[in-house]
Amino acid sequence: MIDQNNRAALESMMTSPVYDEQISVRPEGGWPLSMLADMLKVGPPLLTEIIKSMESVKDTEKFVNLVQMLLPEYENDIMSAPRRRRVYKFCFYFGKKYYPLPANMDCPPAEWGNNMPVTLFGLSYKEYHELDMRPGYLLMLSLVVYPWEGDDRDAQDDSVPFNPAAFGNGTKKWKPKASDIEWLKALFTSLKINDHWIAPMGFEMVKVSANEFKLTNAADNPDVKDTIARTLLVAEKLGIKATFIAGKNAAEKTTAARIPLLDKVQDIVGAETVRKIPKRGWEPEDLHKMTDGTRFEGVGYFADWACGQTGCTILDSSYEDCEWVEGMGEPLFKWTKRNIEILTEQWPKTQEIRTKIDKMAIWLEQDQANHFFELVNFLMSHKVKPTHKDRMGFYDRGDRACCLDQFSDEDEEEENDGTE
Amino acid sequence: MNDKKNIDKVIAAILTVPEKKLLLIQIVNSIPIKNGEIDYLEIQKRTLEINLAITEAKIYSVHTMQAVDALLRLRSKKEV
Repeated sequence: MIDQNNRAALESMMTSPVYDEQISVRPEGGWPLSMLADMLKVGPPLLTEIIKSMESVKDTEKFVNLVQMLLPEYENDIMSAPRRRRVYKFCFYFGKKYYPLPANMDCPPAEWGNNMPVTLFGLSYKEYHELDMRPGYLLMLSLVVYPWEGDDRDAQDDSVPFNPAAFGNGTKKWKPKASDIEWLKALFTSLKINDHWIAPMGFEMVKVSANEFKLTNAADNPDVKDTIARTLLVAEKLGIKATFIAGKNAAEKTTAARIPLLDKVQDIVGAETVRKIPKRGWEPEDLHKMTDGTRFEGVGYFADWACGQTGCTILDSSYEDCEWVEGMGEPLFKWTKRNIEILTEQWPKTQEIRTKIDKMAIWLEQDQANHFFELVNFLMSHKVKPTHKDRMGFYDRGDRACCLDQFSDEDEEEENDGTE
Repeated sequence: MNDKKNIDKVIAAILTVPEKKLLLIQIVNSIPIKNGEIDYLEIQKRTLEINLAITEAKIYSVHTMQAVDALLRLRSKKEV
C-alpha cells in the first residue's frame, strides 16, 4: 500500500505543475456541460439519497463545521449549491484563500469533512532504487549524492559485510592447534539445530544441520575478520561446512547504491559523460552554489528534493514517512489550522521549486545526451571541491517524517472507546 | 395468453397495491432546510424516529426491487 502511494507520489511530482493548474478547480462556468448536466437532473429525490443524507448527518455536520471554520464568508454560497457541487465550490474558495487543494470531485461532501486531502511528492527509498523515472529526473539524480547514506535498510541486508574466503592472507599460514579443533567441535556438538552462538567480539554462528553452520551478523572489524577466517580453517579440518553470504559494508553499499543509476544514465547519454560525474555525486549545497542564477538553475532544487531537504513538507515527505491507520489505503490527514497554515505558507515555495525542476527536466529531455554533457561539463568546470558530509550511520529517518497532523491508530482507538 | 393480456394482468395487480405513505418522506418534509441542507441538528434530535423510518424505507425498497425483478423476468409469449 505504501509503495503504491509512493509510486503515485513520484508520478505526481514528475507531472508538470502546469498540468496541475489546468485541472485545478476554476470559477463557475469552467465546465458548462457538467453544469448543464446538473441542472437537467431534476425530479423527486431518490429514496436512497434521502436515506444517505439522514445516515450521514454527522459527516454533514463535519463538512458544515469545516466550512464555518475555514471559509465562513462563503458558507451560504457553498451550502446553497447542489450537493454535488459543494465540494467543488469549497475547493474553489479554499484555493482562493489558502492554496489549491488536490481536487477530488468524486468525493462526497460528507466524506470530505473527515480527512484533509494532501498529496505528497517526496522521493521514497524504494522509488529511488526502482529507477522508474522520466529521463530528466534520472539524469539529474545521477548528479546527486545517495540520499539514504547510513540508512539502516542498507546496513541490514548483508549479514557478513566482507568476504571471509577472500580475507586473511596472514591467516593462511596459521595452523589450527588440537585445542582449537577440540574447542570448535565441543561448541558445535553442544548446539542444537537452529541454535545461535554469539561470539562476544561480534559475529553469530547458527547451526543449520548436523555438519553445517551459517555465519551471520558479523561486525566489520579486523578482529572479527581474523577470527572468522581462523574458524573457517578449523571447521574445514573438522569437515563442517560453513556457509555465509559475503556482502558489503555500509560504506561500500552506499557507493554501490549509485551504480545501477549510473548504468541506466550511461544507457541514455553514453559512458563518456557518466565517467566525468564524481563517484559519490554532489551534495545539494554544492549544486546550488554552482547552478543557482545560471541557466542550469533547478539542479540544486532537484537535489534538495531527492535528499528531502527543500523545507517544504509535501516535497520532502513520502508516504513511508507518514502515520498509517490499520486497514486504510492512505494516510489520513487532519483538518487542522496548523496543517493549513503550514501548507499555505509553503505553497509558493513548493510551486517555485517544482517549476524550476520541471523546467530543467524538460530542457534535459529535449536533447538528452548533448544537454546532459553540457551540464556535466559546466559542473566540472567549477572545480568545486565536493562537500563531504559524513553521514555514515547517522541517517535518521525521522528527518523526513511528515510534520502534518495525521490520524493514528491511537486516534482510532480513542474514537472507538468514545462510541462504546 | 398473449402479451396484451399479460400486461393487463400486471396493471390490474399493481392497481390493487395499497398506497404506501413512507414515514421517512413525512419526516423529511417536516424538517426545515438550513443552509441548503436538511437541518442536521433537528435530525439528531429525532434519531430514534428517523432510524425507524429508514428501516421502513429500506424494507419498502427491497420489496419494490423484488417486484421490479419479477416483472423483468416476465417474458412475452407468442400467441398460439
